[in-house]
Amino acid sequence: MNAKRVRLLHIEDDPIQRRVVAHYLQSNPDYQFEITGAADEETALAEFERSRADCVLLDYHLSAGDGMSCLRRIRGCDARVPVIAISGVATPEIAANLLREGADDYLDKQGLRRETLTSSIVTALARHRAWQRSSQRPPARLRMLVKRMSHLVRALDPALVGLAASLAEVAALSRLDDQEIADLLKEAGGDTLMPSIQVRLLCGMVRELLRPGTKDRPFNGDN
Amino acid sequence: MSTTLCTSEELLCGAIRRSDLLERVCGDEEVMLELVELGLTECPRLLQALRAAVAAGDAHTIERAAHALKGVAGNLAADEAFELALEMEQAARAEDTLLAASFLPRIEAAMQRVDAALSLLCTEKG
Repeated sequence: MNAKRVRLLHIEDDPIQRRVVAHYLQSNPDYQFEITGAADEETALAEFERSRADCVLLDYHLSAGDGMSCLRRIRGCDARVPVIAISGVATPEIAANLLREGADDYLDKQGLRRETLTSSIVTALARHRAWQRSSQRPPARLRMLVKRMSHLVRALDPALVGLAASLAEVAALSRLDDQEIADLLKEAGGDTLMPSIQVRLLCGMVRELLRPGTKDRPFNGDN
Repeated sequence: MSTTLCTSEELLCGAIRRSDLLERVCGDEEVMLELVELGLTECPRLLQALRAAVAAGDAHTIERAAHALKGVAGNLAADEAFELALEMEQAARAEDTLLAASFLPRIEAAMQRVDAALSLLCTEKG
């Protein structure tokens, strides 16, 4: 099995801790970690903006800068990248604050072991991949659906602009770009009344598109 | 190939238990010796920063310096230095700079033993 490649940014000012963590991660057979180290907040931010790591390991206490501020700034750049916070001062308040500011997990540096660290990172990466899958609707199916809708809307009375607006909403939710939405709406400028069966069909398609978890399965809209 | 000069249970120079240090790196002797080399560089630097922080008398600076030293001591399985740095860090966080500063002589002595233990471990590299 090929090991999955993960670019990891390790923000930590203690070179011994960086070496220990690298050793823990390099012994994982399922992942090939490419680790970049940063010892302070400014270097970390510059490195993150340059490389857009797949995962961030963040020490709460930095000699130059501040882990909490660093976390906020990383979240400002990327709301979803997995961030695991580590601290040698393990108070419930610090843990709660880090999680509230968007850390995916919080680990105590003193009790840090290879299994704990890799489990935390692997879980955060899996959650991130699941989010990516659910947020990226298959464009081929969406284009086909919206094209069908545009044919239906073309037959509408111009007074039924609400349906055209629904088309725009669906198109926006499906992440089509502005020009595609504009083109489809332009196409929809017909003046023939739409048969009621087509209206129902259109409504069903809208509901289907807006339903969470819609997958790229064959559309059977003519049934 | 490295030659083991110290028994695994021995508390080297009264500062570092080799077996604990080796356990930190899952039994990998080469990585352990890398940590030892890093420790020989980092410990004097962090101790100097701690002295400067105490001289400046700023609680927050002492807290940060003690925290940094504590982290390195923890990774090197230097339990005494770790505990002293922890107590100093807690006193500084409570803004008791006098109490925090009072730990410095004991930390200096403990770090001297850590340095000796690291030097001894370094000879294993041969």
